[in-house]
Amino acid sequence: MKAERSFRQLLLALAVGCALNTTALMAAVTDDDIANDATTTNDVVSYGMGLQGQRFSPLDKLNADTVKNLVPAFVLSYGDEKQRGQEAQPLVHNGKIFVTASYSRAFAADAKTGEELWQYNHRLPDGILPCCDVVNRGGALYDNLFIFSTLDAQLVALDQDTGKVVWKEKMEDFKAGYSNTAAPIVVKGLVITGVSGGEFGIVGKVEARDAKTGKLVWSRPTVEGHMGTLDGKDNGITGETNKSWPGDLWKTGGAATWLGGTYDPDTDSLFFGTGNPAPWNSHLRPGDNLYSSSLLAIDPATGKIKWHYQWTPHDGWDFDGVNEFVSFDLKQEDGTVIKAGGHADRNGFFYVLDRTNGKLINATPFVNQITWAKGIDLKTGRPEYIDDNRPGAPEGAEKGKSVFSAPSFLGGKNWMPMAYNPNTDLFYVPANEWGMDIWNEPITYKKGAAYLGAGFTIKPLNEDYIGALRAIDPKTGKIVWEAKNNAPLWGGVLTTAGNLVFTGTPEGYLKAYDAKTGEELWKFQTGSGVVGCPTTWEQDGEQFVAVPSGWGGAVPLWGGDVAERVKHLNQGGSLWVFKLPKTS
Amino acid sequence: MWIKTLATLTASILIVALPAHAASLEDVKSRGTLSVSLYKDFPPYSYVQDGKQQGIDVELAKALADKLGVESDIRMVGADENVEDDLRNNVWKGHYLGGGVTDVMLHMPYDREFSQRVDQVSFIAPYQLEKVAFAFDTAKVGAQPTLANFMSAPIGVEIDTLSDFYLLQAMQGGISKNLRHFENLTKAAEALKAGEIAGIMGPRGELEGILATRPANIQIQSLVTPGLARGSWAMGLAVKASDEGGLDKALDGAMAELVRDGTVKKIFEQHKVTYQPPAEAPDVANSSK
Repeated sequence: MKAERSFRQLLLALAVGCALNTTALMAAVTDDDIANDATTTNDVVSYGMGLQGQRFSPLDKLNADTVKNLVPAFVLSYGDEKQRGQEAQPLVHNGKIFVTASYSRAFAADAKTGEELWQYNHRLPDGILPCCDVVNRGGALYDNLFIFSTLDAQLVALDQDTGKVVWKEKMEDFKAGYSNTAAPIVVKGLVITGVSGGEFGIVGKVEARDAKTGKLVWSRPTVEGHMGTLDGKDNGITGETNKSWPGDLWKTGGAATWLGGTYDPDTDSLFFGTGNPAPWNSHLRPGDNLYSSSLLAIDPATGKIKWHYQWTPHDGWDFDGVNEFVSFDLKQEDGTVIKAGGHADRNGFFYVLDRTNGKLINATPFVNQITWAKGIDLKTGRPEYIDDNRPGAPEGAEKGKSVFSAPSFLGGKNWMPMAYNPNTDLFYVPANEWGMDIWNEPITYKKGAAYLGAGFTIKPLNEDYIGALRAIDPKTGKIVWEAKNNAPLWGGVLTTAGNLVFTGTPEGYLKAYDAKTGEELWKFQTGSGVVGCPTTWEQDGEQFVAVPSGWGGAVPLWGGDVAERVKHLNQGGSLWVFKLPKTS
Repeated sequence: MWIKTLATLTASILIVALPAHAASLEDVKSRGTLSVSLYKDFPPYSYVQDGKQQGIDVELAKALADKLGVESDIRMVGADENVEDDLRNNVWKGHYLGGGVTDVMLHMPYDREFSQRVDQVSFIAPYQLEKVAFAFDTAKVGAQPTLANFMSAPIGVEIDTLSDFYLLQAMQGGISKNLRHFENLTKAAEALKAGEIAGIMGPRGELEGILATRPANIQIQSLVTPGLARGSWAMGLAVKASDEGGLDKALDGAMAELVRDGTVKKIFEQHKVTYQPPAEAPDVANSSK
């Protein structure tokens, strides 16, 4: 009797155990799930909706005809008074939706009902001075983990079911000015991240960690002269020491990888962009200042740089070069296909590169006014600068020459990711039309001491709009259509096989456009500015669309005419989910 | 990324409620404490050693509180990208990550032109004139060096400072290849003592304090610096601007007494830093602009 009971209990235990294991196995996000993310429709397991970053969904239930029936399914409030800028892209897996929020928070909810499952509030240390706002752009899913980065430069892996911390790794010392707000990506079991930092003395890098444990595998600095590592051993110097910097400035050269990156399986390359060089005054650092304001193609297994392309050599405008590089097939007239990548830079040019070797194929303006260069020389791949329009060097105690520069340093396009639709062969770029007056201040102060800084004012270029969602043909660089917006666009873009393009506006709308014509087909007022990234998936036969709402980010921090256009906008913090109901 | 933070000067969007009212003298007295922001890791002015807050500014803050008949509550704060940020974080608004503001911050510029740009605070009680100077190793550059010596001998600066930007372009860029960047002047001073560099350019008070004990071959003095935008500047206090409350006047008066009775001079001398009052300051040559 006793024995039988024990036996039964054992069986029960086994059964329960198996059931749990099966659930766990089904729930675990695999490398295959991530590799196939762009083509599977029942989940969204990576930032970019596929590691190439196309933000294209093959779903077409929701389309130009049916989008008028799109209705709210639920809204999840992030609560708290921490309402600055919700820039994340949600992820969906196994019936759960995961999203990060400002101030290094993360939430999980039932993807269908919106019932909250858990929330995680990262405890930020006292005295932290993050350089670059308190937004967060999203997480990565792998195995049973939800991995995201924090303002104090940590990488945190949470259990998808409970929100409990599984592992936590310090990426850099926040006291030295490092931070992190970008979404990590997972490539073949490695979680790949960049790093942010606004203080002087930082050097950008790309790093790979074992996604299950957080253990560092390789590290690749982004400024020439710095040693990379692989498995704890030296792994070659980045570039050639001090080739394009004066003195020892390369040791503190900047080039922060603050927006993360994409991955292309066809060429097995990571694509990470880098920020501007330091110091801010370009006259103090003659040379190209490699690899600042550049794109790096990196071998994901070793962290070696395969090739680079520098968007803005000798950057003197704070253009950065961090904007995403999106892999796509460039279809030629003769029917052949070039493995290419598209990139809309802060500097106002839309670039198409051969992604096998970094060679420039085409570069065309995607904004109406560019003052710093006449164009990009297709032979040399370098900008044709207009020297008079480079901000001047401080001279003595006098105010330096004031230069009007377009685009402004906020860029023809900033961080907000564009989308590519392989059906229309068009890129959808959230662009902004603005310039800036920039001059060197005679005297400012830093840490109580006299200092030479720069002053600037951002100015809209048009009365009726700053933002413009633009459809760009990568074959010609032509703008096929545009949809103007009064306030600057600051949210990501989604496109679908249903001939739709979604993006948000600071005025609070999530909008849907006809992907071929740009006709506005649908809009919904979310109650606060939409600066997050929309995403879509299918569950139980219904198509869903999710987007965070919550005005903030860099734009409201600016004075002048731009602030005038956005000062009436209310903050918020919530996740909106819509669905196309089954037709009965 | 540098430029983004400059812009936050004009930030006015925050909703987060922080205790950012200007405290009145009465508030301070009834509370019994004067809260003070000082830069952290900033010898010889304000730093923590052996678990204790130390330095010239720490002593000054205590003496000021004493004059008002209250205790001092000193908060050591990190320096943001510029003083406008520091004032916003610590004096008139509070940082967006929380923590609130303090009644007063020391080591703030006393400069008419600058104060016009930052009208959210009152700059009061100038107590010191800081000057750019050089510390150098006489064994390497002799007892009377000029800037030209550093075209062939390495010289250190704290990164992202006036001295850094000056030396990068001085002598038609002829010094830049010999310029060594350090995270702070304490580290530069170690390199100077170790013979790795021949000189340092930086604020004199910091150099004197950090090199308070130095071998005879290391000297500190001013050199001719053609084209330097600003060679000296006055330091004072900053409090949140307010039409009433009287804290500004009380602190102004307290500092005047401390200068008059020799306390300020004594504090500087105890830290082996030459005391130079900002009598003629700020910098006559530039103040006419």
